[in-house]
Amino acid sequence: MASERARRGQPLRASGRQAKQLAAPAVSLRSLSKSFEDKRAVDGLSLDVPTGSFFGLVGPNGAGKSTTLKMATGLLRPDAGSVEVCDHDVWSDPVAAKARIGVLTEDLRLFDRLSADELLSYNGLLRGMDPATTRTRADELLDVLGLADDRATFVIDYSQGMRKKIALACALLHAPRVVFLDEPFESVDPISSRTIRNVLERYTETGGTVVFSSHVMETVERICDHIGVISSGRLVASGPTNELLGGKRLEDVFFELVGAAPDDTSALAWLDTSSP
Amino acid sequence: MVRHLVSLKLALLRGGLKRGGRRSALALIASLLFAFGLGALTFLALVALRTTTDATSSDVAAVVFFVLLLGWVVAPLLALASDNTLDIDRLSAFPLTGRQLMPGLLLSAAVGPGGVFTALVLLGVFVGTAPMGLGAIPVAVVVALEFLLCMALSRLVSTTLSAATSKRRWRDVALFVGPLLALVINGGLQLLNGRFTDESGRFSTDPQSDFVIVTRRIARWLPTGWGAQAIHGAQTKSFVAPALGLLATAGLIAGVVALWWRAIQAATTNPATGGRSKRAVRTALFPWAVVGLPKNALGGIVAKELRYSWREPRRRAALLGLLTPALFPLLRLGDASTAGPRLCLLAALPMLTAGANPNLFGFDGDRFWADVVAAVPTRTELLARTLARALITVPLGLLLLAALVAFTRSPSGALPAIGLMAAVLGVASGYSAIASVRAPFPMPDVGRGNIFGSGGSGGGSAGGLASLAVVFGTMLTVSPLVVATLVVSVDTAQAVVFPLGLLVGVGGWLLCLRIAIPRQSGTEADLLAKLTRI
Repeated sequence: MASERARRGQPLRASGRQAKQLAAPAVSLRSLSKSFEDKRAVDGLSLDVPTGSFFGLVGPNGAGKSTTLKMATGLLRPDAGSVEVCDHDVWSDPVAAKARIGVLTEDLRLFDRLSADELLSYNGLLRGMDPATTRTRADELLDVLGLADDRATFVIDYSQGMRKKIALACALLHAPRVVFLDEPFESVDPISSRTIRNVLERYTETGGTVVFSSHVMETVERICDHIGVISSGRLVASGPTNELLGGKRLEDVFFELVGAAPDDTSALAWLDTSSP
Repeated sequence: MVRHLVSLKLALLRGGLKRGGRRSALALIASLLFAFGLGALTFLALVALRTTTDATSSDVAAVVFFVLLLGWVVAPLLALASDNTLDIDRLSAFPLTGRQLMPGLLLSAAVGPGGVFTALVLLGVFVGTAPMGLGAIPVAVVVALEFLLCMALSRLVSTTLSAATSKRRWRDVALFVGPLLALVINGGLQLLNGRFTDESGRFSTDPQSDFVIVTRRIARWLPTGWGAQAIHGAQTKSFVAPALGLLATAGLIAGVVALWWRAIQAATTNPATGGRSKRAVRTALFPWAVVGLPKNALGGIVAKELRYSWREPRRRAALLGLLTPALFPLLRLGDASTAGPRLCLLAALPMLTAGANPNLFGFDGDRFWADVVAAVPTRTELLARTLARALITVPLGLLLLAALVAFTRSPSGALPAIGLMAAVLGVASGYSAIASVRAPFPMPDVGRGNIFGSGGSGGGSAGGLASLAVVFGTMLTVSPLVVATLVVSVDTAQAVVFPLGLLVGVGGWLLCLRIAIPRQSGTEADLLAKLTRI
């Protein structure tokens, strides 16, 4: 019944307070592993994301963040391990699990020769939503995200920030319980960034769970109430932001956990002389 | 600066060779060999002008100058994305003046297959038309000026349109128009060949025919003909005509260069801003012709596929390809006694090319994630994608059939033809569905590769093999129906082939879909992995 409601785009989420009171995690990853040829991208990663949390997944480039998110959303089959979203296994019960998931991928490969309106309509149809509900929600999302004036423009002609916003609209259209966002603030101007942040904060306040990956420490520290740190495909730390940081800055904690890069820039002494 | 820009062009050619791998290297070598070979042949043909009259040789020179100039204006615009040195936008960030840029840009334009071809052809014009002695000097100057005119006008057009050509829509159009233009030119040359050959296939032309007279007159008075008139003057030992022709050509070049200067100033001080081209499009996902489609995932995918079939250059090109098999033998259909069976086969041919698409997910590539994350079942995907193909193909096929029936005046062949069309389309679509799930491969994005081919799909010959397998499999499956169409009487064909064809088509399609659909759940993600270029 709940699965059918989710497919039709009807709200599944409880109120924020109720949701946060639920004991079961929204997302549960157990011993996830994935290798690409001889490279081990994710190595036995286990993680629980509390319901209603704003969870930031940080790690250096190539740490396995995107691979983890792809496996968690049913886009990439893991070599080993399991993923549960709202108590539904993503790989053995994909329809029920995916009905509760919204996804924004890093590379933003969208059907970009559709207009924003058409793209949202397409996503609504794929999710089994009725056209009237899709229409109403699409109008509201486009208004809030500042895309209403460009709704009839092909997505291929959008700027990077606009593409992020329309991708976010697609991810939220069916009112999922968990949204997975891969680098949502990358290459986004401050105005779009604030819009996206506001939408997501409102979403978590009403019980939704956000899992997002980033390597922008300031953003993660500012908006996340839970943080997980991944390095070389392994989870090296995870927990509520306050507990994890212990009064330090996330950047410092991050460098302690994954190791800091050398910052010897003496070889660039020529930069001290200006051009004629 | 001249040296730097020419070095840049050479470095780009070298970079293209290294980055593109063996395929790209072969393409460049082939284009150089082709340019050299075709240039050498044209050179030899033009040398033969020495055996013709002066008037004829100068008129031929006028036509050659015009064709070369046309090529230099059109080709760089269509190939802009492949040559960074042509794009003034890329140079606008550097502190360079127009005076510094112009000689280098001119010379770098001449580097490459186009320059080689043009130099050979113009050398041929010189050898073929220049008189002995001092008269050769004005001809040499004309040839040099024509070379300069080609480069300068080409640069003027590409600089003026640089803002427009950096936009996505231009690239889409260029990708489609380029190969189409090549086809039209090829067709035009075939027609001209017919004009200038006699029944035995020998080259023969009547210099007094209207066509030749009009062509000569037009060619002579076009701006490119002014140089040819100077050549004619030099051949007839006149002083005034060569001087006037040279002056006019030089004046034309000066005008072009002045305009180009202004275009450079405008482009370098006001470059294109990222090429965003907004175009308002209709906001309904469902095209008006198929509003009756169900409003669910199946209908959505069909609607999206229909939209993409027109909006994506490669799929648009594929649409064009549907009609080609039927057009070639159209002229041979005249025999009334065999028109019916032939009509059936001809009408069924486009169904084969339309249905045989063994990579139904390939154009979507990793965009397919949107469908995977929405948990759309493979069955729905396959149904929708083959249905979308049929929705495009069937009306086109029926239109073609109507035209064929009218052309052959054999309406009795229509029903068996519809039966055969249904059988071919259904079976080919079914086999394609199986191949699409079992052996999918990602296609490159638009702009990288030939839109009329797989464009370096990465599937290599395996992709082509899948297509062949689907075509042969379909032909084998429907061969009893084809034989029946050819051997039985028209009445029997109407009674048997029509219903049987529909049955084979629909039955084959559904049966293949059942075979294609994997039993294990979650295999859509595996399909996505195969469609993702790493």
